Amino acid sequence: MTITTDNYELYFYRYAEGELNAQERAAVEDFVAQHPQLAEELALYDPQLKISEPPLPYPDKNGLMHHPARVQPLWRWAAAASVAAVLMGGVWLFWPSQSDGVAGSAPLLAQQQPVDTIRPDVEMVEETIRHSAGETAAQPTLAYAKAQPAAVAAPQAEAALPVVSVPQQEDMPSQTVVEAPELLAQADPQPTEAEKDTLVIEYIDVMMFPETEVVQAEPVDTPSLKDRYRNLRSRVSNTIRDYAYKSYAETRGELLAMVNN
Amino acid sequence: MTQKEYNNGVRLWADDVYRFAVRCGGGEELSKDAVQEAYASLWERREKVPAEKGKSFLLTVVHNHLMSQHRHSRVHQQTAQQLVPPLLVAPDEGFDLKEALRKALERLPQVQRAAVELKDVEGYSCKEIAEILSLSETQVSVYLFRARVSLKKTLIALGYDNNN
Repeated sequence: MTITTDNYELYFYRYAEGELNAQERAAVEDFVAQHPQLAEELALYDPQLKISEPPLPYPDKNGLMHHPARVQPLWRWAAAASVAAVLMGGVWLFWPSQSDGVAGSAPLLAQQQPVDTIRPDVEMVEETIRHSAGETAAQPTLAYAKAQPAAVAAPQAEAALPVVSVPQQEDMPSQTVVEAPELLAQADPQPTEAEKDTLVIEYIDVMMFPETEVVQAEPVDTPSLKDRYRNLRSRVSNTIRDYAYKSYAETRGELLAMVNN
Repeated sequence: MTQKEYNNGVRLWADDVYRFAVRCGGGEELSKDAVQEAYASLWERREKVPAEKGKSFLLTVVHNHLMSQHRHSRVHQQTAQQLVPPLLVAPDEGFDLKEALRKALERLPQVQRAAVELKDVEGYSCKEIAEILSLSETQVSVYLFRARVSLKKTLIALGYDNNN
């Protein structure tokens, strides 16, 4: 090896760190003897002079971590889809078909009673439906609650509920007898699948997102949010159930009135 | 490097990498940025970086980041004196070797400071330091020699007894 003034630092380092053999060490010592101005540097080199640092915690390790992709959003979507499926199932369960008439116990009751007693007068039934639809349109509960003071809105909103459902007076036909062929023949054509879908979507909208409307409309002393939601759901459900006896436009108008008011 | 190995690397190395950045003159905020950039870079290249090389990879990124910032800031420095902190001597106070070493270290050029930190604190060999700092082994030896001589000169200027 040849030590020069250009590379002496490397050999000085190795000399001080004990990395040289005896021959190389002798070569370094000879070089220092020939260059006394550099001897001071070698003397200043202290291999024992080590720096030590205390631990210095990084403040945000969690921010550096990478975790597996979260599955929670997928579960949320699945839950939302389940709710929608249940709601749609409920709608279709209560959706009256042309062959079965009104869902629930209606066909059974129709079979148990003589035809003459359950066959309604067409004009009477139409009057009933007009009466029911007219009062329903005239009593938009939420809109009324918005417009009136709380103390007045609460009882009137509750009073409107029986009117929305099918009347139960003795001189009126029950809900189950409204499947009279004459009435069905006079009703508008059954809705298309697209129209049904539209109504179902609107129905689900009301079922799933009523809180904003109700909360904004509710003063503190009116019926609870839960009761209001139940009332709204009942009215929408009844309206859709009565859809078999009304036109699409009329039913849709009633639904939209309930939703938008 | 798997995701689990990466996260283990955060737990095991983040403190050391951050300390390396701070001691190399990064300052608190710049060092945080450097560490974040280093780990982001490691995450992007995790399939190419083996777990046993993770820490040295991080140190390399941090060093390059600090050097880049240092070059950038040096352009805007008006005087060379601003690069080197003033050496304040308090003769009435007792000599604190650790504090004196810290001050002496601050006066070293950044590459020498990094080499000393990696050698003394992190315990890397000259070969490993050369890989981290993208230098030759000879260059690392020379920088270490110059750094220790400079440290000793500064310590003596601060009152360190050379005979201790």
